Amino acid sequence: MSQKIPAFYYIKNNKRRVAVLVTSLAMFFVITYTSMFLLSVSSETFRSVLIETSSYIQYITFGGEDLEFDNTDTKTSPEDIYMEAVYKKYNEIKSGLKKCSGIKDAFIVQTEYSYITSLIGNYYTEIPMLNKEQMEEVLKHMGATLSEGRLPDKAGEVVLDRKIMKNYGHKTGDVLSQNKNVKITGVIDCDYYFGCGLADGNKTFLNPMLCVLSDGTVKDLESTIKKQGISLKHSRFIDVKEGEKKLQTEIISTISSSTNIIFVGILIIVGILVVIVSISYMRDRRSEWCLYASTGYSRKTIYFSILRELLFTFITAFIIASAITITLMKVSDIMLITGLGLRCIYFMPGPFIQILCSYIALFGIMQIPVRFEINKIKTIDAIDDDM
Amino acid sequence: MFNVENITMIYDIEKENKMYALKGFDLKLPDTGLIGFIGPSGSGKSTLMYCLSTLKKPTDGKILYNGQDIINIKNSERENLRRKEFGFVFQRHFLIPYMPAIDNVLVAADENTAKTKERAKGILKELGLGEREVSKRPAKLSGGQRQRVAIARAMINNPAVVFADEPTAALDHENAFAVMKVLKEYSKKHLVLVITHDISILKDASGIIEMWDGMAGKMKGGENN
Repeated sequence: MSQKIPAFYYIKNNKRRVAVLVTSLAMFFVITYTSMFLLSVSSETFRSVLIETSSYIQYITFGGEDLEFDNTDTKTSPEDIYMEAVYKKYNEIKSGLKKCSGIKDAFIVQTEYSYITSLIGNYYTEIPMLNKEQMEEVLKHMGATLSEGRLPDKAGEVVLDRKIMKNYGHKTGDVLSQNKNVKITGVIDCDYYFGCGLADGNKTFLNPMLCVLSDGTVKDLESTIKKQGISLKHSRFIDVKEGEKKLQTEIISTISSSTNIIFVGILIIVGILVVIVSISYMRDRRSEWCLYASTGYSRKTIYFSILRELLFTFITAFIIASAITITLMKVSDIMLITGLGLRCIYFMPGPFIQILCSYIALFGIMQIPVRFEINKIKTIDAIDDDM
Repeated sequence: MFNVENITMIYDIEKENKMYALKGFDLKLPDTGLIGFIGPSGSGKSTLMYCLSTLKKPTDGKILYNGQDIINIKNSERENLRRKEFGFVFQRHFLIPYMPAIDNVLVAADENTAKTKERAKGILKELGLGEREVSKRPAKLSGGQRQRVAIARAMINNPAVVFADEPTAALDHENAFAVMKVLKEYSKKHLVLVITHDISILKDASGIIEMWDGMAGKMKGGENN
C-alpha cells in the first residue's frame, strides 16, 4: 500500500495563506451568487407579473381593423362608436370564446394599472374594473381572499394584493398612484400580483379590454381562439406567450448582460489572486517536495497530496461561501425583498452551475503551476550537485 | 547488508574531461554497527552514500542490498526501499519551515497514529529536545536542535539503515557526542553510516572507512575487500 503524505500539515501550519485562497474563492461565490440573486428579484417578480398572472387572466385590446364601425352615425361621439364596436365584437365572439378549451369566461372591462417596482426596473399589471358579479367571479377565479378592509362597493374602488400594497407602500384608504380617482378599500391575499375594482356604470370608458379568465392551460390566446374560428389579427393579446417574450427581451436580456459583467469581473480578480497565491505556495514548497521525493515518496504521491490540499481548500471555500450566501439571501429576503412585496428564488441552477464550472476551471488552472513544479522536483543529492 | 562491487560514478560523462566521483572499488558493509566515512571534501563520501541509498545511480558496478541488486530496480521499488528501509540525515537538515519539530519528524512516518507521535516525542527527547522545543518551528530552534530533529525524522520508521551526512556538523562537542551516542545505540540493531570530517566523533564506531579521490580505503574494524 502506498504511503500518503498527510495533506493537512500545510493547511494546519499555513492558516493565513490558505485563508487568503479560501477567502478569495468564497468571496467569488458569495459576490457572484448574491449579485445574481439580487438581480433575479426583478426577473422573478416580473415573471410572476407577466407569466403567472397571465396564465389565469388574459386581456385582448381590439385593434381598429378587427372592429366594425358604424360610419353613418354622425350624432354619436367617436368614443361611443368605438365602445359600440367593441361590444358588437364581444357579442359576436362571446359564445365561441366560451367554447375554447381552457377558457372559463370573458367580459369587457375597463382597466386601471399598478406599477410594480423591483430592485431594477418596473413593470405594470392590469387592474380590471368590473361589475360586482364579475368582481366576485374574478376574485374567486384568482384564489384571492380579502384580508384587510372591505371589498369595493362603489365605482372607482379597488382591492389590491398585499404584494402590490407593500411594493408601493399603500395603505387601505389610499388612492392608486396611477389614478388618484381610484381608492383602495382593502387588501387581498393572492398568489399573484393582482387587484380588481368596481367600474362605473357608464358604458363608455377609456382602455376597454376583453378580459379572459382561463384555467392556466392557455398559453397562446390568439391560437386558442382561432381554433373556434375567431380571428383577431390586428388585436393585441396580453397572455403567457406575450409575457414570455417581454420577459426575455425586456427583463432577462438586460439583466443577463449585467450578470455577465459582474461574473467575468469577479472571475478575473479571483483568477489573479489565485495565481498570486499559487505562485507563492509553489515557491515555498519546492524544497519540501524535494525532501519527500528523497525519502521515498513518488511524484504521483506528492501530486496527490497537493490535489488533496487543493480539494480541501476548494471544498472549504464552497461550504463557507454557501453558508454566507444563504445567510445573505435570507437576510435580504426578510429585510428587503419581502418588505417590498417582491419575489425571489434562492436556488438558481444556472448561476450555481456557472460558479461550479468556474471552480473546476480555477482548480484546473492551478494544476498548471503544480504540474510544472512537480516536474521540477529533484532528490536532495541533485540539489547538492547544483550547489 | 551492502555488498558493493566495482562501483564507479562519473559526472559529466558526455564531456571530454570526465569527473570520477567513485573510481571502481568494492565494499562490504555489515548488517549492524556504526560505520564512519571520513575523507576530504570531494573524496566521494556523499556520492557513495547517495548511491547506496538509491538516490543516485552509479555509472557502473553493482550494489547489492540484502542480496538484491538495487541499481536496476523499478522506481517504485527504489522509493519503497527509501521509505521502509532507509533513513536520511542530510548535510543541510532540510526541515520544513512551517512545521513544528514534531510534525517535521512525523512527516516521514509510515503511519500517523498516536503511537507514532509518542515515538517521535520519545526520539526527540532522547536527542535532547524538551517538551517546548517539540512544538517550535525550525526557525525558532538552534542549528543543533534542527539537526537533532532531522536525525529523529531519519529514525522514525525504525529503518534498517540510517544514512547520516555530517550529522554533527552544526553541533557543539557536547551535543555532537550526545547525538553520536544515540546513533551508536541505534546501530546496535541497525546499520548507521555516518559521513564526517570530524574523526573524534567516530571513536565508538564499529568501523571507519577512509575515502580519497573516489576510492575507499580498508575499513578499520569491519569487513572490507
